[in-house]
Amino acid sequence: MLRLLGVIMIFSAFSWAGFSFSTSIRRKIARLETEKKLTDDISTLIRYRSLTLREIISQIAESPGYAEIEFIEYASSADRYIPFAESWKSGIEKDRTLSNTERDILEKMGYELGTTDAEGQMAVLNIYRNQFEEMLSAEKTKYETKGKMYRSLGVLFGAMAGILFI
Amino acid sequence: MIRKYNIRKLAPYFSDKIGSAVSKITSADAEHISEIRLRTGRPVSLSVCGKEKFLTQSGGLTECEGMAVTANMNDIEKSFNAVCDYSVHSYGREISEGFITIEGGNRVGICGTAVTENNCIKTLKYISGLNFRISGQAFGCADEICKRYFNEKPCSMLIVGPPSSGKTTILKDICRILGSSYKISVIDERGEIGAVYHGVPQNSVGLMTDIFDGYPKAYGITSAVRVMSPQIIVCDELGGNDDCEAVLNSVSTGVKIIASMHGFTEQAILSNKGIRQLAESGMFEYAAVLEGDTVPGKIKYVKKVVDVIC
Repeated sequence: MLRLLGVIMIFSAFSWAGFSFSTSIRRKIARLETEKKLTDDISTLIRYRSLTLREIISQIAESPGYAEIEFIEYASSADRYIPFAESWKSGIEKDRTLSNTERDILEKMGYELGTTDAEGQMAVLNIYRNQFEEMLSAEKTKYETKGKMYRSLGVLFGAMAGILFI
Repeated sequence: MIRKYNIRKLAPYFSDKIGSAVSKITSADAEHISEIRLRTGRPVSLSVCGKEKFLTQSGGLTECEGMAVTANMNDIEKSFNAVCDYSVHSYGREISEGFITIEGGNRVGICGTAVTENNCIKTLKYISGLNFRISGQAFGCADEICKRYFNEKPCSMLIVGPPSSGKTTILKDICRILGSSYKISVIDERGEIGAVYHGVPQNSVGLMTDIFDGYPKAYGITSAVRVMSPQIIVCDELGGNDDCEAVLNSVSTGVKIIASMHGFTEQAILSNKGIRQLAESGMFEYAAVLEGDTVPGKIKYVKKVVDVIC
């Protein structure tokens, strides 16, 4: 009985690991999609409403679509006299969910936001949007090829380990 | 009574070095300061009762420039960005006009190298100087005129005065007083009457006053009549042909106009074609002439416009 329980646990652990790897790619895809959307939304609010960055960030922070992007919440709650780039950067530093590449892109974006006229901002945001777009398509390809592989390998190794254990 | 903004609250708009000096200015000195000027590579200067003085690191005022805090390019850039709320894209119009209204109705004049397009200033580069003009509102300077001419029903009035005679000061106070009895629309093209900051008027403009901030006068007058059904429209510095035409068109709606215009006496009405036309059409009932720059915001006398044009 104990042996059977052990086999089930080993199988579940390997399978869970496989699914977890696959899910982490899916989560990253969802996050990159939100980050791409972020550049679009900032762009729209600058172009059509001419809002300041503080106003834009507080509006975005309240939107349910961004609930999972932690740094926006940090950046929006910063003191209004602190330069925007600093509060944006400190928000990014506190957000543990971001990868190093995302961190780099977002930090650079923060330094350029608010420094030029609306036309310049559109151009800047478009550059960062394209970078997120590239990362997104790479992650999607990765998910299609590796996601299934992680899940299958998890189940397969689980089954193998279970058999060996018996 | 003049209510002045607390100058020390402006400290966050400056770099650490200058901000710390500004925050140390004593209340007694602060009351008399009307401007803080930053110029690249030169000492921070203050206008104190019309005289120029320099700011020391300890917040004192001096006439010796060697003892003063000097503003460098970074200090000016930091202040410029802070004044723009770190969002230059939101202040394109204001930058090309040369000033930005900040919290408390204070106004920051910007000086730099102009980038022009089609003979218009598109933006400024190399910001070389900033002038923080401290806001203040004179309460009660229009008490008498409001009691006398607007007590029973609204009327149309021209406020005539030379530069620095307090035309805008009077208009602000008129808005404050009449805004509690009449529906007023203020066409605040240069943001001087309401000093709107992020949609909130920083000056006391009355309970029933709507502010069309940044609207060109002619367009603002037409819009106000259409959408706000005001009893009185207030606007500063009337004189352009388009403005006068918009005022003329509003006559038929029965709305009253209170506007200011440049001039030393009521005769100025006759020398401006547009205003003269308005006066002849019976648009304005009274002309209030101001004392002059010696006593800003004081009315010298009020005349019936019909007597002026006769």
